[in-house]
Amino acid sequence: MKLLDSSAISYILERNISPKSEYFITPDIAQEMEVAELVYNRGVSKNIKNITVQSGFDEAVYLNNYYSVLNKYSKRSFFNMSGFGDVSLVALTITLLQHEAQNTRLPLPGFDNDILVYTNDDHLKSKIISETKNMVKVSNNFYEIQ
Amino acid sequence: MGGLEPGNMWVKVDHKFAVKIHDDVIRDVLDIYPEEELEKRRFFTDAFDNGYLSYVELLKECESIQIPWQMFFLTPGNLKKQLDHISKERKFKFTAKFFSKRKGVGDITSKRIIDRLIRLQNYVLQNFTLTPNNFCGALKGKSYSECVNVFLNYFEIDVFEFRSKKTDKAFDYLIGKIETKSVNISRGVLKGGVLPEVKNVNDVYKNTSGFVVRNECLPFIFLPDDLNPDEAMGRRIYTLIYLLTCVGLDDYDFYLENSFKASALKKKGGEAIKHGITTAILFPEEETDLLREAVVGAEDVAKLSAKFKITPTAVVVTLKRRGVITQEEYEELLPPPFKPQKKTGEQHGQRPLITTAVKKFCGSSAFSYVNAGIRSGSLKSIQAQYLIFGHVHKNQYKKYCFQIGL
Repeated sequence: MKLLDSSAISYILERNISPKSEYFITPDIAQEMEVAELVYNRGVSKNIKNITVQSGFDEAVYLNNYYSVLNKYSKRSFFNMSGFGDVSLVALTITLLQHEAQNTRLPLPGFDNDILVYTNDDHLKSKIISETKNMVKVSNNFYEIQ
Repeated sequence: MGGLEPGNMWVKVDHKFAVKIHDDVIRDVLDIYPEEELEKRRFFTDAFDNGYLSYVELLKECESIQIPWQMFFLTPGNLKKQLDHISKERKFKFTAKFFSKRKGVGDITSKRIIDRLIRLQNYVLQNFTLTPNNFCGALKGKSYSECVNVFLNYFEIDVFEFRSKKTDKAFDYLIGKIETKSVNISRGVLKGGVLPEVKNVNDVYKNTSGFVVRNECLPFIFLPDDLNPDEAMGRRIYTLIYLLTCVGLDDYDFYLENSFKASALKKKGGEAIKHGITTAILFPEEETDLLREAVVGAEDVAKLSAKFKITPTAVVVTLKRRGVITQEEYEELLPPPFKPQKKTGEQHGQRPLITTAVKKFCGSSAFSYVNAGIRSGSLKSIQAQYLIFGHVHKNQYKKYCFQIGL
């Protein structure tokens, strides 16, 4: 299962890429993406989906993880309103691993495969690796997005 | 209800209890703007009664009250850190060294407006290199007539052009001239989604005074403008010039009490000097000297008010101060309090452009810097929306981006 952060979304919009395979984002990233679409004046592919509205996804578990991550890390600012995309992605990776651990299969494409997050943000990378004990891959090879 | 301890409530999503949050956190978040009495809103009273709230409804409510929903998800300890930070920023900018206003004009200073301006000023100062504004302190130690010359020359104001205009146009003329010289003038706006339109908020804003926040490169002046339609245009002009004299004298003699009521420092003379300079600029002594032998009537006061763009009250008070009229004449000439003209029926005029509302609220300089950040991509869209609207407002932002040519 492939996840994207806002830097990957910007990459896609800047190069006008239309991914053929499916990618998932969080509501926070979706909010940034919607505005980025306005700025670039083009929409992203329908294959980039907000995961929380997919059937079978347990938003209650996700929100609980969001709460934990939000309170664990200080690198988010209410004054500048920054860092919440990172919080949401870390919470999502934890949620997906919990689904796996509990054998609650999600009817989402790629769920059986490894979780891979595309980002070029080193802080986010280290948080994901540490929170998921290296069970989630993080890549900045945006050229793979297609 | 899922082992809920007293003092907590659940956030529900998809009919499931998702997150347990603290009642005190909710109260403290809503108390960030106590003057708006957000805790009395139906959504929150219901939540306290029921012991839970809906996540989806919380998102909607947060859009209305313009507070990030994530704040309600903080633990008490983490919220305290955030609130301490907000309080520190407010106190830092609004201590006696940094803040001034006109005495007797509006006691309340809206915390929401304060926070918005702090956020804007911090953004500009942290992301752009500014040069010192030579007007800051330029009036120090100068006579009134010297102050008038410095003021008119620095801001390149043509008094004859200013006086030839109708009062509202004269006000716009002044603002245009002053803003080109790196003084940011933020004005109260109730349109364009720039400030929340929730119950009782308008009354709070109505009592918000004009003020100035010190900065040696880009001082920020706030004028209530549309928030207080009861204020005569001549009074707005006077307040603007008065606040500029604070900048010119580098004299910031107000501070915010813990209750955020603006209070003056106990200092003698400062206020009189500022009024002296303000009237010297707007209503020169040479003009009042011409009236020393004359009998001044109400008609003369009206004519002087129209010519010099100050209120009839300011005319009469100045004439009295300068010894042109006696105490008896003063009492006779003092007009009744200004009554704004009631608008007849619904106004069907064209809605202003969002950029117009944003520019008015942020001030020209801050508006330009924010747009530069958006254009260069250094300012992320969510941050940009918080700077210009105070919350995420995608539809407005879409129109805004279109209107600024993005």
